[in-house]
Amino acid sequence: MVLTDIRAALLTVTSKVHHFDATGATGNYIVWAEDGQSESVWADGKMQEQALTGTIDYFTKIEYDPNFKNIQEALNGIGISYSLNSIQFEPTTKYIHYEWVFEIG
Amino acid sequence: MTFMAGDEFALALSRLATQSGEIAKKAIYEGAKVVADKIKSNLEGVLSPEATGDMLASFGVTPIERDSDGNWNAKIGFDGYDSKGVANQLKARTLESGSSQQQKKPFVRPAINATKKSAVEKMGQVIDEEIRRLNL
Repeated sequence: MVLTDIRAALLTVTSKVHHFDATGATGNYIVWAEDGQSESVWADGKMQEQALTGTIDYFTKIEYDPNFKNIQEALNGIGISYSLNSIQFEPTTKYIHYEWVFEIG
Repeated sequence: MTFMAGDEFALALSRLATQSGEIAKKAIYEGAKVVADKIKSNLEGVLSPEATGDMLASFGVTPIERDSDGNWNAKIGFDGYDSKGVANQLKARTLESGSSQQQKKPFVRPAINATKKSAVEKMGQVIDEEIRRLNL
């Protein structure tokens, strides 16, 4: 699996998909980013396998937004390992912020 | 390999049982230090030059205590409020997870991922050393 598989999966949910930076984004949108490595396998002085970690954030002003489920189904569709890390409400903007942590090998 | 006489071995085991709490505390302290140092260095890397230093100063490790299940624990995190009255935990959370108005700068989870293995190894080393000191 490659990182662009994540982007492709998220684009099946909404066209508002941003990578790293969502400055100026309006409405309901996704921003995702890779941010590090969880595991690696070394052999013969070379890295043979590397697992990358990152986050997917969905900002919505819709209560019980069906895209919450749609995002998870899209991620299930590509067989990615993920978990829902947090759900936060922003009182000033009224956004509900869903955050998933993913890992790809 | 050393074979101890029965009484000598029983005495050493007894000493280990008596000191198990102190050994666990030492191991957790060293393991938590590995993780906390990495979180702190990551935080220093993501804070803006205008940062007051309040959040960094509020970062620390709690005293090591035994919970109701008998497990020894320490918590790593932020405490108190900054000079503007904002909870340091809230600021750390926003930095880690971002918001619709602030880009995320994860510094805790990457630190845990990077140090998990070495922290466990360090704790194992401490336990081995302490057991060796008891002549077991």
